[in-house]
Amino acid sequence: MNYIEWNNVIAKHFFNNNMARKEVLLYVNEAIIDSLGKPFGDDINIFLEAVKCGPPWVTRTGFCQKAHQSYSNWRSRSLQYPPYIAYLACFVLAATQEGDWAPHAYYPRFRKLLDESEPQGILPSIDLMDQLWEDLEKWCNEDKKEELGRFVKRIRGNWCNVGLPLSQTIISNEERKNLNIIFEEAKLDPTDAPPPEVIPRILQKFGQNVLEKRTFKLLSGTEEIDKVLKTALLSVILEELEQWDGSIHLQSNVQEAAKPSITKVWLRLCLKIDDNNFVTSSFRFKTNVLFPEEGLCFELSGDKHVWSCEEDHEGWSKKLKDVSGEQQIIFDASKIDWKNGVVFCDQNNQWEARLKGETTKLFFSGSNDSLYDWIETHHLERGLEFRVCCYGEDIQKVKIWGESNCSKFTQKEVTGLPKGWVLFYGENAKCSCPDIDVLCLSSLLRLKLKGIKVDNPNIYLKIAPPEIVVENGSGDEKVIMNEIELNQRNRDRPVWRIPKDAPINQKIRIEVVDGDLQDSKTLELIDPDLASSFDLVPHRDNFGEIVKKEIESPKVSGVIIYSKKDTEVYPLTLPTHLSERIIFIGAKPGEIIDWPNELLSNNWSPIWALARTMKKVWVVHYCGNPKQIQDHFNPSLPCKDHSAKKKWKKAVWVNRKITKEPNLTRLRLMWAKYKEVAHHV
Amino acid sequence: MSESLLIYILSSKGKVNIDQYNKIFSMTCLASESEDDDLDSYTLNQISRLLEALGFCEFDFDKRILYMCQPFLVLLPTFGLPNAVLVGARTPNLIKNLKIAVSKRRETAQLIEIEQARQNKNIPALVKIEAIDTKTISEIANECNIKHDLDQPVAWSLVNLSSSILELQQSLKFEKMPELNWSGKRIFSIKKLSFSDHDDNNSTNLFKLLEYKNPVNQQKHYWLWNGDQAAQVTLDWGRYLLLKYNNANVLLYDEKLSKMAVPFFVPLPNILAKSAALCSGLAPIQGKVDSNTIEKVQVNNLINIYSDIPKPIVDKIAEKLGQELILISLKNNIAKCKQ
Repeated sequence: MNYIEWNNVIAKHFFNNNMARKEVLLYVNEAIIDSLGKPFGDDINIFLEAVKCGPPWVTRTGFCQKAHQSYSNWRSRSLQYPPYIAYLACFVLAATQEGDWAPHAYYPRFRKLLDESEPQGILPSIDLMDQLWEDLEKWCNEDKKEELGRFVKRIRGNWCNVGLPLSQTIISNEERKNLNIIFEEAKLDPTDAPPPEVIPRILQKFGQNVLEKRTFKLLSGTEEIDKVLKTALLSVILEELEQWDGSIHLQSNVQEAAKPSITKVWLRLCLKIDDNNFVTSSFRFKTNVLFPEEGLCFELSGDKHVWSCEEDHEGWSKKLKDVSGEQQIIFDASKIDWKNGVVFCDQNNQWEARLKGETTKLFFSGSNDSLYDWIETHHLERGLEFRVCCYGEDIQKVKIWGESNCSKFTQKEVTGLPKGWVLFYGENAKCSCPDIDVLCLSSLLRLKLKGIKVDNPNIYLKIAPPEIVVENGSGDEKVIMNEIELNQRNRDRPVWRIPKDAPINQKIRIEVVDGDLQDSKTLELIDPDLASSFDLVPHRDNFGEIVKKEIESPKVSGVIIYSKKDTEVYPLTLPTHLSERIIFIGAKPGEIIDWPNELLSNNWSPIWALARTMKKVWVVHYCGNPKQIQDHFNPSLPCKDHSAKKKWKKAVWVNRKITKEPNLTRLRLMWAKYKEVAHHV
Repeated sequence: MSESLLIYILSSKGKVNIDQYNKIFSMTCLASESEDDDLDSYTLNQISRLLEALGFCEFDFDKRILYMCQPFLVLLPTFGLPNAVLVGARTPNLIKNLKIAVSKRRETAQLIEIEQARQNKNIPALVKIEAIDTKTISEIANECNIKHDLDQPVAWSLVNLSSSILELQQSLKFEKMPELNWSGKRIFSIKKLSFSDHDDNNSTNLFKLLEYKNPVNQQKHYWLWNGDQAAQVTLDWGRYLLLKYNNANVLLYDEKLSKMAVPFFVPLPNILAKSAALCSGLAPIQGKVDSNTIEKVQVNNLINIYSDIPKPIVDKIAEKLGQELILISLKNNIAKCKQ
């Protein structure tokens, strides 16, 4: 492969639809280059030769100068990918070289890789490479709107030049793909991630067969220079956890056997505390996986009931309940041992719902998720009211912590909890409770956009803008949209709304700032527009079945009918459904029927129907035909029946003040003529 | 706006797979409404059926895709002035343009928006144009680039186009065959008008409708059994054919109110459902039989009540389904659900 071919193969490997919205790390090592070159009979040596040559238009001699020349004005060249990606990959490749160098020695690694014998010291023009990394971020996040992934330019430590490629080596793609094994073993709930501070401990414990030494080193590093990358690593891991569907997809070199494909979800305890301090506990769960259309039927070992549930909203299930009897029974979670947990199985659908066994259970108000009750969660947040249930030794630990580290903290005497469990009410925790993971207060500020995207990852409809959700804020955080601070509508919820006058069709930058911490996201709002085509709408035959092959007629698509046969003309009927009493008026004074007391006449056609409403008001409806309006159909000579003429006059003229006239001007004018005639009858 | 959000989003996408639709539906239409967690479990299915019947979209469950239909104006079977209802995809801009076009003809046309009943709040409001003639409606439609068919009321054309139970009977081929041994088999109960695990039908009934679930792909299949012979049928028509064989009438009609009630678990087949819904352009509302059993429709049976169904159309619907209409006063026999 020549340089451009290598460039495209590498770019496609890292930036593709599977990575949409996820952070891309350009982690390149020898194994990856070899595997990408293998289908073309190439290897790392050919790759290095190709990058030394560069794309056809470069004329400079130095490596960095060539890389920079490949970047200059590249958008005018109609290329699929930025042409400098292979150069950047080569810089990262150098960072992953093993050898007898000091860990921070980057340039010797680079020179060895490219077999360069230049003197020691920095590479000429390496400072220009910053522009390439910055442009990659722009191409990925703005030009491609994160459709192929999201790229973040970071600098590892204080090394302004070599820190850029080093920052791409925080975790390899291979490690990333196998993170689900760690998530599964650590029993993590993708819909309720633990605080980032707990993640290193989990990875150390469960990641021995998955993560590389380099990653462990970064996780355990305490040096300030690694802080940025450690935070980035934790963000990537949390991002993977939150997108995990609960199944295990084993990758390549990990030896453990694959587990059967069971969908696993984590039950959340729900507490309802009534005015008499009685606690009712139940279960529901949240999942990233779509619910089976017919809902789920769980069974519990040793229990005769079938506990069914279906989706409530946004991935939340309804409460587990038995609906087989006359009265439905909601599962009483207080009968379960919360310390050891429990597993419900739906054999038919291959779903498993588990309660994680713990001796401390934390609850937040469900109002953020439009739920009632207090809902179990696995991470503490600042500034919020919470409930915490504890058992055994945890009771004392939590009590001591809560009393000195929360703005409010009291033990509540309640009934209804499993034996030995104690309930505390707390508010606004200031720091973490040692040794209890769910009471760990995170310092990683995160901003999330919650809403419906339109095809493109960062585009939302103006009529349905996303909510801005801030995690781990101190309560003093500020949310800024295009440099203007947004107001928080409800201080109890860390949620901000995009203002109605937000601009459309342009980039909107949302930023959260909390002291030294910050996070940001970009989005775009658009007006909804009709889809470009509706040509694919299926056709149905006259039984209403979708036709697989083209048929002539009759057929129907939506309500558009394709039929060569003429339908008989629709027989118009009088609008007797308008009211329980209707007075039909004909064109001649005296043509009147008080329905249903009188039968409809075959001798003349009504022009007006006066329908009586509940409020004893008569509403005038036109019931002649459109031609009669065009002909300015006027009342004609009266009938001879005096009594009928009197009734006609009463309906049209005498009752005029309790009659609601037609809205259309043309009809009102016509009705006015009837009134005038009725006046003088 | 919020009740139209689902349709606006789907209109901008044109087509979505069912999984995406479920997600969008969940985000726009579902939210726990009460502490008692009593959201109707049929919400998603019911709303999907109604959206299809009202001409907003078509679901292809084999391909698992929802297709939005193009915006279209069709006539309602009204007396007097012609009324054309907007079906299919729409956006706030399209509605705005319609309003502008109508307001230019204030003397001869008006745009009427009617909210759906509260229980159907996730279905967009009815948007119809009333004008002194179809020519005016046609001009408005052309100005807004909306296709239209104003020759006949669409409900009348649809009911005439629909096949009938007689045609189905003639096309069915009963063959002697062993019964499928798939688990999860259910039988249609004429007593309950729904599928049940147990056969509570009269043992003298020769015909039985069975539902089988393919254990591999979970697809459901329906077979109508006549003794040891069976023929595969579609669910919607199969139910009415079984009712016909058992002389069971289930369609209720209140002539005075022009309302038709259809048992919830014996919904009208696709084209007839469209015909019934497009008599008014409003989604049917759910009710319950609350006093006495009405022929085969038992007390507490849920029913869908369609409004403004003229006699000629309801007669045709009944004829197509091999039903004899049960003429009753719905007011005295039906309680509305969760209005």
